[in-house]
Amino acid sequence: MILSGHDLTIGYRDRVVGRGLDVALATGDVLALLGPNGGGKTTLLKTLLGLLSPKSGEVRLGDRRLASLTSRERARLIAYVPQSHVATFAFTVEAVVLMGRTAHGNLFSRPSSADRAIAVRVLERFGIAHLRERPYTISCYLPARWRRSRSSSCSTSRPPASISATKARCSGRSAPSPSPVMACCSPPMTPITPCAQRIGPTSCAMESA
Amino acid sequence: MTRSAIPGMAVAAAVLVAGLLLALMVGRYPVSFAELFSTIAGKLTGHAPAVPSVVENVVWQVRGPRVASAALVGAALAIAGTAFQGLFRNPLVSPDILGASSGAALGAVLGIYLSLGVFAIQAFAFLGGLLAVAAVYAIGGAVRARDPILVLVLTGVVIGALLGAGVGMVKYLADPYGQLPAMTFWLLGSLASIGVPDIAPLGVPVALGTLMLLALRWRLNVMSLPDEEAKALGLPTGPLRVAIIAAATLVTSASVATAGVIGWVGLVVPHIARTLVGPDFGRLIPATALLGGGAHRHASSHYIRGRNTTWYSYGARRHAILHLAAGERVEDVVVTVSR
Repeated sequence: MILSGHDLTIGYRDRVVGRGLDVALATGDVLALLGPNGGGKTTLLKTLLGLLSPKSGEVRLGDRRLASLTSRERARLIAYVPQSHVATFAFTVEAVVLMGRTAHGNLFSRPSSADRAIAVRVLERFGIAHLRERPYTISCYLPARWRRSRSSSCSTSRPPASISATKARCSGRSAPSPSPVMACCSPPMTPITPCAQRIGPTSCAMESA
Repeated sequence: MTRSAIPGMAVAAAVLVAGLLLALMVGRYPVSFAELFSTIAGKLTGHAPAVPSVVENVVWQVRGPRVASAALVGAALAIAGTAFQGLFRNPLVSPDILGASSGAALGAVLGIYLSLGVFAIQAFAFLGGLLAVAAVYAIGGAVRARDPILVLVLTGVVIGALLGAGVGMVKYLADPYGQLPAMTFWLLGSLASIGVPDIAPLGVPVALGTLMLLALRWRLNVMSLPDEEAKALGLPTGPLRVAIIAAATLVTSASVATAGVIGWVGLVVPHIARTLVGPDFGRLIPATALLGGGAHRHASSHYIRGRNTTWYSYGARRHAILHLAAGERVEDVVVTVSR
């Protein structure tokens, strides 16, 4: 599946941040997005996630317009793992991974035993199954790993497209996930070049506002 | 429910049972455990219990309704506090953060000022709480901001202060011998005048709100993540926020309308419950309900004693607030009540 933006103009209500942006990410891609602070990297991410609608142009997921998907459909296909996360309550690692399954249930449902099995499988895949009962607020020494696992639990049948804005975690660790990973890095957070492997038809232009 | 939640739930349930039993036994007219046991057993089996009828009266007519409503109010405030702490992602939030308590206080104080009856005063308080939160939500929603949650909480604080000023003004205008003491007692919070008929107006909104929050318990977990993450996980955060606020406000307004402004239960109990069963709302809501039900008894029986009402008389006691509102002096009410 290809997540793509076509001739995007992105920005907020009173401000255009970027123009004429084309981007395409296929399943399995890893893309690092470089730019100065305030340059619009996060704005592009939000637009690709559907949290922000583009001012012109369109975002497509496969052959459908992103805007035509419901938020639940979108959440089943795209996972978002922000670079920083404010943890208010000490949920267990397993509960946080299970939150990635939220869009698979209806409004009133809790995660099913099938969801739990998926979460355990994902935790095992990342080698952190032994931490499942720990509070995630003290597991910060392995943020990138559990963050990945949350995004990976997003779909059963096919691997999700995953957008990761993990600034500090771009060093060339091989991710077992087949998802396309797009990392956003500001210049001070080097080194990013090793992980900026581009697979598939990806082009990205960023215009500084 | 996994294994790790069971000990915590057991502790919470034990606190509730111990609290209920103690509340039925301790007071100006002490009831021994044996008497209490045979009274309850007598009611269950249908046989006449081998205890003085005054014990039966104390247990079923006087303390029973108080204890039941204290447990309900405690549970309700604790649940509302839990939901708000999650929704606002802030462990210092209590159920009155959006102005429900101040709105109810102004409603009740106005009702007393207008010399209305007990039922009307409670209805005014209930509606006051709902209206205050609706106003906060409308004003907070009209402000364009990057952080809607922060705007909502700030609006709540501002409106709360404004309503508090309104309460002060009505108290200033009120008759200092009849109405003012009634207002002060109401604002202190009391369950002394609760009778059997008061249980339904309290229980129905509390049950409704609690069921709504229980149904949304997994969504509440996800709503405690930052807004964008919750959205990216597919949640309609706006409508969900309205639903959670409505449920918590229903519950808070009903309990404040019945029992007056009693604050700390909604702030502290969720934290105690969280240390027992963890932050998952699926376990947290039942645990806070049990703990809040058990914990609030202590607060309420303290007020009941402070009110100097007599435990085993129940004829005139129910409408103490009405008497106060009608302009009788406090001593008169106490005399009426203990007769």
